[in-house]
Amino acid sequence: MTIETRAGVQEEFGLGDWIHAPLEDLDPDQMLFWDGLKEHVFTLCHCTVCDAWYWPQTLCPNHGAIPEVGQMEWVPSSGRGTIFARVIVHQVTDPAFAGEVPYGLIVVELEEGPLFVCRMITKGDPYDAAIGDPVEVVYCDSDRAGHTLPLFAPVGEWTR
Amino acid sequence: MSRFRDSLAIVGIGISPTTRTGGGGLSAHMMEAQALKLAIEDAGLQPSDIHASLYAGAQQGADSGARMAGLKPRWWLPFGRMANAHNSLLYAAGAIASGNCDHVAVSLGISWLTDAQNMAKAAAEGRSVVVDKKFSIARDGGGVVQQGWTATPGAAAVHAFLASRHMHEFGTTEEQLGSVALAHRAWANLNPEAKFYDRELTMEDYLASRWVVHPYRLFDNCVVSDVACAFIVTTAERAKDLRRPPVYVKGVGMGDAGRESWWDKSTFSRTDAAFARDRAFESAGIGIEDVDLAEIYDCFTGDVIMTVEDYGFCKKGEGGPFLESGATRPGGSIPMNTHGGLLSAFHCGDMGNMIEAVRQLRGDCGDRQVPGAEIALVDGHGAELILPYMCPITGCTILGNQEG
Repeated sequence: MTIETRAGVQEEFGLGDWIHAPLEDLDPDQMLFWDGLKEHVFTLCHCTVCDAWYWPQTLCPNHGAIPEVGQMEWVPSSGRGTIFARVIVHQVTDPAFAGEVPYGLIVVELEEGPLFVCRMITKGDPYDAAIGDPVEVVYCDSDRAGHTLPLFAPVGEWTR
Repeated sequence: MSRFRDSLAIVGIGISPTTRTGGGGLSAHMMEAQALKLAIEDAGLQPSDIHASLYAGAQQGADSGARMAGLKPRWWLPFGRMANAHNSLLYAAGAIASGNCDHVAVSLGISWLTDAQNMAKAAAEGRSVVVDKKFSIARDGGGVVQQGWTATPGAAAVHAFLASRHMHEFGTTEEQLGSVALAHRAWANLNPEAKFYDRELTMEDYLASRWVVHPYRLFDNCVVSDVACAFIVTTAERAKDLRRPPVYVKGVGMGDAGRESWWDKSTFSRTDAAFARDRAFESAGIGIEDVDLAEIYDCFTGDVIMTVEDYGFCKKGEGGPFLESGATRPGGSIPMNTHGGLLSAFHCGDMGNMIEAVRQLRGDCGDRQVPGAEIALVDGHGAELILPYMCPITGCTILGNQEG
């Protein structure tokens, strides 16, 4: 189950105003992914030929020397996975994040296969979230910036 | 016998004053000019003898270092990716073989200490600073910068991921990470140019040091330096007429499978040394057991543990116990990072490793000299383009002080 969202992710998880910082340098090939997030849909790039899933890769290397762009489609995925690698940030240089240390950054092994890198949010101790633990996407909307950030939390921390 | 083996030699090396020996505070290109001048003098050449000048980094898009050193090369070229000390040897081989030049200079200056101090000042004044933005934008499509990723010491967070995975898969311990820091510190304590020449490090010190980004503590991180290095390459034949004994290039290999990392998850706990080594050793006509010393790219402690496994100094997954055994320390069976490395000496990309290997093979290393060293393995890895899976490129060079 992908978590439904509501206002208050920032407040509930104690996140700073960095969530409103404009997204810079977005890859034009990835815009459908970011557009999907605004609708609270976690899309991945899917190969219609061999059923392989990718992120952020937007071409499938499995068949033919020159993969066809038209074979690929961005489709909704589960937004769930397990922690593949995890670090806990204690030292920050940017003061915008100083109030949140220690916080987790994780690589998620998504149910569909791709690895996804993101900020982990939790109401508990970030050290309690271990490699192998299940996590799910939490959509963090910024009305001010007009974007939605894909943050991940341990399963069950963000429910209606 | 491979045609490449012993066809080239490194004939001159130079290093600017380090932070500990009174350097620093200069621009990166001024230090680079200092290193170039020293390398050319070391070879017994004139600046006009340098026909091609290669810049072994990505920071600078201009030839200011080479110009300030008085070089008038036929061409100057930046090598913008990592493992530059190794890439540049392959490029020099072609440039020389084609008749375009007799002597090639390779140089790099880095002013990260000054840069970091300026950034800290900005942060102290309440200005928001984006650190190491380069680690985010190229492969994740952007957006991660804004999530606190690059608020960290950026490279540390990226490399800590690799360590966290290695610890999970193989049971590598915090103390084993610490044993890398201790080994390199023990070498630095023998090197007056090293930042930590006069500061010993114990396991208690290591475990008590502050967390930067778990599983990395302060002493799992490389030092930040103002420093420059340079070396001069020519043919083995010309090398015989120059001032210092030649150090022969026996083999160079590159590995770049890390680009597969978005779908090949095994790349998370290995480096591309596993690929680079085969070509380098095939060219050199020797095996890992013939190596007398190794200079491993030690940007962070976990990278050393993975890299020694991937070269085959021990089995995959046993890098932690291998480092813990003391094999790489002074007096150990396979000395590594004999200048103290990036962890305890100075950070000049992968250039410092190449310089130190040449010094060892010349027998110039004083208290830290590895007795009778004839063959050195030099390693470099990194890249700026992939997050979070760094280390997508590895360069491996085998150097020797005897032909054949």
